[in-house]
Amino acid sequence: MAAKVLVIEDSRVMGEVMVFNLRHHGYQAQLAVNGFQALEMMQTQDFQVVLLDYQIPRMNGEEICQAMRQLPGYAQTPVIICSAKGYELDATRLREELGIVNVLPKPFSPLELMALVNELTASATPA
Amino acid sequence: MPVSELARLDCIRKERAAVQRIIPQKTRQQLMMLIIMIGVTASVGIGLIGYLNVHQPTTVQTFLLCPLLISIILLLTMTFSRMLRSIISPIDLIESQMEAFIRKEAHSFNATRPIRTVESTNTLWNRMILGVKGWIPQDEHHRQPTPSKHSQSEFLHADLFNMLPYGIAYADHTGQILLHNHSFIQMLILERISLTTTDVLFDAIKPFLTNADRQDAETSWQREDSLSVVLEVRCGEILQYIHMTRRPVLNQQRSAGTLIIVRDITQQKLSENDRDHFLSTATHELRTPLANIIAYAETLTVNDSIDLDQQKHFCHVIKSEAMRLSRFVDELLDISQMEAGCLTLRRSETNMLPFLLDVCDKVRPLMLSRQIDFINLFPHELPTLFIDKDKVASALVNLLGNAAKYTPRGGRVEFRAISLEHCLCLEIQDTGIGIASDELPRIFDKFFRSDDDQVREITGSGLGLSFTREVVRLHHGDISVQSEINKGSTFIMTLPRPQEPICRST
Repeated sequence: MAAKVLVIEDSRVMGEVMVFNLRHHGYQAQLAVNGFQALEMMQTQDFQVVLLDYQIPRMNGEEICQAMRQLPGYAQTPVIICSAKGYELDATRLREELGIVNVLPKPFSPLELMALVNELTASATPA
Repeated sequence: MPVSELARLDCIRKERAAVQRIIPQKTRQQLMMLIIMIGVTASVGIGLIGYLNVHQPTTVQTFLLCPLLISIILLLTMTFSRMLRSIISPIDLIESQMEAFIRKEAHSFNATRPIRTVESTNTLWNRMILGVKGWIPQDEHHRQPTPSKHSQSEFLHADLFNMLPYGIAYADHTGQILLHNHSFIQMLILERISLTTTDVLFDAIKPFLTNADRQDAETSWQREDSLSVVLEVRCGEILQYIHMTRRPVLNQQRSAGTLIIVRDITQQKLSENDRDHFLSTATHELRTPLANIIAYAETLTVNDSIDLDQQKHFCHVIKSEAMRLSRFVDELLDISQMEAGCLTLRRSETNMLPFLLDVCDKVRPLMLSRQIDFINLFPHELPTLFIDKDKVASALVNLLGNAAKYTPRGGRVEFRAISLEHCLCLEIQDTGIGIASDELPRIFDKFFRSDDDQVREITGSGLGLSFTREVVRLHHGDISVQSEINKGSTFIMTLPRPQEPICRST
């Protein structure tokens, strides 16, 4: 059973290519364009990894992550924050406050992203 | 240099008159004499009666009573006169000090002179001196002009001191604030506070300290160290940034007091904020298309077995993202020229009808691709204006492009030109998503982008409208907007007609 990955990204262009790469590598990937949509999807489906853009209008990455941690089954879900502000974010603080969080600064190569997702899904669901 | 000696002098005169009113000096002396005389007369009289009584046969009691009465009356007189003295002598001292000051023997005035006999008078005296020193004339303008050249320059000094763009306060080594100017009161909004000591001052400014600074400031204030801090002074809706420095004043290696200087740095702070905002937005705007280009290009190169349509789509995305980047760089250049004030116009006579039709041709493909009903309503004849064709064209393309971007598929965009007496009015009306009323005033601001999700999904740098407004402004025209959420927006641009018929350039 392929791991389910949720991509939360307000830019459709970026979201589409992330979803494409994930699907191409055999993941079941879905796209949410804002926090509300994402939280709704998380309540109806189980995702093993969440990819999160930091700068999303209304509810930013951090707020989405905090809300997500309150949902049943998402207390430990690995989160990768992808952001053009990646270099300016305080990764240590995010890790301490929001659980397992990897920061991937934009621009990133899809190879990097896939490697990270592979690693996280492998550790999340040990064979 | 005395800050406003005249003012002090005036105050002193008033104080003196007040003291005189209570007990005039002459009356005081007369009162003293009267009491002593009554005392003496009474004791002599009683003594005489006693003496007479001895020679005439009377009772023993009377004989004993006389000296007792004499001594009681003498004691009372002495005590009373002593009490009176203790009240009168400080007043005399104050008076002599005032006289000294009026005679310009300021050195003896400067010392806050202790009058130990009556502690409360002493405190009162010291407070009065402080009051006089800190007293700043409020009704300078109502005063009679002083004839002396010397005092005029003193008025000037006082005015200058008050009107300095810096707020200044000086406190002595005990923390008593001896001196401050108007700017100091105004910048720190201390109008309602009686500024007596540095502790009072610190309590008043404490709310203006940022949380990060508060602890440090408090410690160094108590230790009387030098201090340099930015205060956020909020007065109603207005927030002002005030820089405050405090440093000890040394007199021969010994602390002689503290000088506190405040300076309004609001403008500086705001332009710093603008610059930071600009930088962070610009970096984000550069990184986003770059991130997309890299992601799509690498997806193409590393993944085999992508079907041809998909490949084409990816290449198309790469191209459009590259175009977006290039557009953004152009816009940045325009904006930086605009900022530097060197966005200059290359005006030429322009027949507006063909010009506007050209503009329409530029945006028609975009309108078609979004299935938007694009209608232009131009009269048969339009005036000839003296404009920079390229800049006005890109300003209009900006507005029409926005209309297309923010109007859902199947919507309608109308482009109208109305020729008025003094100007040409261009209206662009769409049936788009509209602009929230609270965001309307900010849409022409540099880098402003709506927080609306629908807007966020559409790419944009937030520079277009600010560029458009600048172009219109340079042409001495005007731009305004009316909008209703989910109904649509109308942008109205006016460009003035030339005042005189355009002369053929030679």
